[in-house]
Amino acid sequence: MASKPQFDALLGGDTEVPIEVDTMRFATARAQEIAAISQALDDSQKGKLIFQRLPRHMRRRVMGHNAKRMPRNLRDAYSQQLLKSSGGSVAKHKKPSRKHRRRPANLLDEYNRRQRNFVWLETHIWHAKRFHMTERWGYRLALFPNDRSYRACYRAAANHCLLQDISFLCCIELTGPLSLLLEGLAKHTFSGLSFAARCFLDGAREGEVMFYEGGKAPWHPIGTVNFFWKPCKSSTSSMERSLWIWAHPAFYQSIIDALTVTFQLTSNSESDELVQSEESCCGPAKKKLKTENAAHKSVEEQKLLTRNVPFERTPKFTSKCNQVQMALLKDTLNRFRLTGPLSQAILEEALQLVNETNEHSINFSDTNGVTSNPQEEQNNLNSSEQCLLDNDPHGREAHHQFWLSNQGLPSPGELPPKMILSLTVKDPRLQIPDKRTKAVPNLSGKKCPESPSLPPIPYVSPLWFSDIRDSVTKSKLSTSELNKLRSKLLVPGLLRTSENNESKDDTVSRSRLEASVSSKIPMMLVQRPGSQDPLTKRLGFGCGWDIILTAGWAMPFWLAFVFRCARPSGLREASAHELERGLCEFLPPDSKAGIEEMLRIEGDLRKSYFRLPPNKRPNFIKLGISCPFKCDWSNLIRDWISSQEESNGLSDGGELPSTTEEYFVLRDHKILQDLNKLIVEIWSSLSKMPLANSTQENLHQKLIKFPKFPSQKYSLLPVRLEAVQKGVTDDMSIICIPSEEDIVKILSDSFKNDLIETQNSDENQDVRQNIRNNHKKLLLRLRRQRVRAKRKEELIMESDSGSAKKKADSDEKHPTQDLVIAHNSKMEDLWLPNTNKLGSIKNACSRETAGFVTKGNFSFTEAKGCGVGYISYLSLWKLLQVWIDHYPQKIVTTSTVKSANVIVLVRSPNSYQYRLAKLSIVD
Amino acid sequence: MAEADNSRSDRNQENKHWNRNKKVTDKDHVVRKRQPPRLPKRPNDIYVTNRSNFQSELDKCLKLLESGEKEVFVHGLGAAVNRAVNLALQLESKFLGTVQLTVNTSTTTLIDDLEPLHDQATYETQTRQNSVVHIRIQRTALAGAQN
Repeated sequence: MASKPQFDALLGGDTEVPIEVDTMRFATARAQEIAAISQALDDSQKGKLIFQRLPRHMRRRVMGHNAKRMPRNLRDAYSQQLLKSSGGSVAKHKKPSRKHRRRPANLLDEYNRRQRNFVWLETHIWHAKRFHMTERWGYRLALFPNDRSYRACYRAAANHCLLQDISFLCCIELTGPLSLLLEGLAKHTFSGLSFAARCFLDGAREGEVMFYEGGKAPWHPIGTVNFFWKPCKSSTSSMERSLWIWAHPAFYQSIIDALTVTFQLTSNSESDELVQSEESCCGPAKKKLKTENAAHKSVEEQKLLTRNVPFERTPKFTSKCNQVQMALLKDTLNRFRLTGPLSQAILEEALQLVNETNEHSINFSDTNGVTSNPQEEQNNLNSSEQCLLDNDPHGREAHHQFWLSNQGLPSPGELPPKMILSLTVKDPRLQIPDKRTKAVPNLSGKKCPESPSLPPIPYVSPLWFSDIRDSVTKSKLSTSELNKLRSKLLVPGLLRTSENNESKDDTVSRSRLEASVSSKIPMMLVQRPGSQDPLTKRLGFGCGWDIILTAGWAMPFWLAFVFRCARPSGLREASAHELERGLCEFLPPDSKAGIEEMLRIEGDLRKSYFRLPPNKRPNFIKLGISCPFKCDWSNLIRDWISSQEESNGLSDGGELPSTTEEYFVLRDHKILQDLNKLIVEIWSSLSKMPLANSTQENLHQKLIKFPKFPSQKYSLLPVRLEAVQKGVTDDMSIICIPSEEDIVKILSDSFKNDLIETQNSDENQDVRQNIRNNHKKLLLRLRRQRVRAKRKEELIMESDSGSAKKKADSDEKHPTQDLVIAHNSKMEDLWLPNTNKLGSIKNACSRETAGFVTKGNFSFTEAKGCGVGYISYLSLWKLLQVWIDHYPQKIVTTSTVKSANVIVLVRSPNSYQYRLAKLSIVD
Repeated sequence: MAEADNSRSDRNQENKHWNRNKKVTDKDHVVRKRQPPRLPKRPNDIYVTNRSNFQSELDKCLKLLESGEKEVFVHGLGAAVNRAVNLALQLESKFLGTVQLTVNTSTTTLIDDLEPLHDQATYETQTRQNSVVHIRIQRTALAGAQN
């Protein structure tokens, strides 16, 4: 301080300071600076939006919608900003008010618009409020309920009733001369029961077959379909018959394509046009027309606008000589699945049979007399009287009698398996309880029922006739109409009265209500037997009913079941139940649909894996897991075939077998059963006695003598796994063959679950580190480029030079974007093991991989970790040989051996620990 | 309730059983068992099977009896008769003789469905007889009555 020279002359400096200051002059001299400062102060909100620059008292809420409410000087800039925030397109139309949007007709229009990409089921809105929804197979489907009810859903399926809407299954109707149909369909089936089976031809039971691409079986399966024939009394080969095929939407299109080729079907163009015109009608282009229509269109009709609901709208195909017809009934039939013993009680309570006497036919065409005027109704009746009658009252009586005589059954598992029952019932809304009440089998009901057998008379359900279906759909009263009727009851609103205090007047008014709601709904019930083998699962586990309804009626029935305590479930519960049953996955790995499903899962898992930071990712190279996100069947088969050829000396090692991509799942029940028997036999003779050399020889002979079948080395075997001790198998776990030391360890008394994979070395680790460092350096060098690009972008943004140019600029890539993407994909490759090398799947870790677990979890029925998967056929021989060769020549007393099935090792993809599991073949 | 009569034996025995009931084994069918008929289950009915966990069945009975249920019915079918009897006896010893066992035996008709293996065969059924035991376990001294 002291050293600094003074400024003022009075204090010893060298500048004379004037005594007075002329403020005006002073200010003028600094005018520039002041202006700059005040501007800077004013512009403190430079980063803000124009709207935010307005002082608070001048802001108005409407300004958000209407730029004209802004002060004029800000208006232009403001509208530019609005343009920017709305992504280049300013909303021309004001969003209609909520009140307007929520009007039923408008709301339904909106719903119909939203289901254009992914079809909704009729129960969609109900589900969307309560379930996680997901987009699969062209539908928007319920995945799992929001209430945490995983275990409750298992209990429901085992002891109560689990309900699922499976209307996404697509129905195909084939009509034509029986011989022609059977001839065509025979190309698509292979071994076991087919479409031509006598037991299914009479239409009394539902069949299930694996559908193959034409003439290629056992290769190229498409998927499992359910089917049933339209019943008929006498069957000759030239007779016109109909068949309904129910296909999963994942492979529905492939089945249509296959059928089109087989029967040389061509689409009926007129009906197509009709559909298209209807579709364009509900599109946005003719919005005005639509709203006009909506005025006099009932809500119920509007709900079904997206479906092909009058039968004329369904796509139809005919063969060249007009003999075979195919109609696609996709989305025009509803199918619900009730699983569990109480499904019987629930159906008994919810379904009220239409009790016309034996002589009378049911007239499905008398729609509700409330809405239509009587004259119109009369016309309606006269015109369609003939065709809309149920023409077989005796058959109906037989089916109704069957249903009534089996009331009080504790479980549908006691009924004939896969039987089809056709009932005609009243509107379920008339009987819905006021509160959710559990339906239980009637304790005071009849004593032990007689052994039920199928109703003797074949009965064609009215559901088979398209005009009856249409009129039934039409006859549905909307809920509001029904509520209006209810309000006119003696005790307004009360639908169900307890039997004790029901007065006479009450009954009269109730019967009047029932008379006015005259819809009679034909439906089919399909029994599912559940477990029929006490060795695998408890008898009747998973039994239940499938019900089939016409379009439009899903919600009333759905609510009727839910109000009787059926537990609704989604796709997750369905697949969990499949695992509990020990069934293999619905979409097999050798079908196109199965491969697509696998790729979807792989994509999901891969994404979530690389979302983790590197130190949280399991290192699959170190773990010795070759394909952690999917089951690489083709490479597994390739490895096993090449190793077999090597051992036989057929090929010289490095060469790949010719068809590596090909594999199929063995589905011949005879062979599968024989294999199962062979395993049990070998295992029991192994565990019973100390092995002499001669018995070892015998067992080897047995293996060699087992009959061979064509292209067996390309086949996969479906297997079921059950943990022997601890451990839950995960999806994508590997199934391994134990080594010699493992066998000794497993059979020793002091086995302590200590089969552990040694850590493999990860050669890529250094490479990754190097690449990462280099990449970082490179990015640092290119920083200037990025900064320049960013500045340029900002400039363009500020200059507000029209939306079109801006858009073009935003499409322009970041200068280093390509580099980053390339780097990421390279790193991802380095993180995962390479599977292209020969033997990379089979010998990925210290034990040989025989196959993969496709689905594994803790099973509540077994109280153990269980899983289903596939192993290569060749690996099964290797497995059995290893056990025979290395089984110790002494009596083994450990409990692990006592199981009837051969033991394999199973390892989850993110663990080093091998677990023991019993392997059995699913037949 | 599982059909338990030969659930632990292998399939060969199953065929033998079939022969005993004078049905000819054929190559057209495979035997599928139907759920055995039974009356609707009351809360105090315990159906013992060979697949069920013995300890948990015992606990269930104990819980029922200790929570004031006057009687519990234990049912066993076929091979599970032994287990049912064992369960009842275990209960008797647990309650130190304060329960009374009443044993009833009967025979029930079981239905097997013969599922066709090829297209020419049709569905058939066969009936078998199997023995059932119903054990009524009744508390003679009620929990509240002693104090």
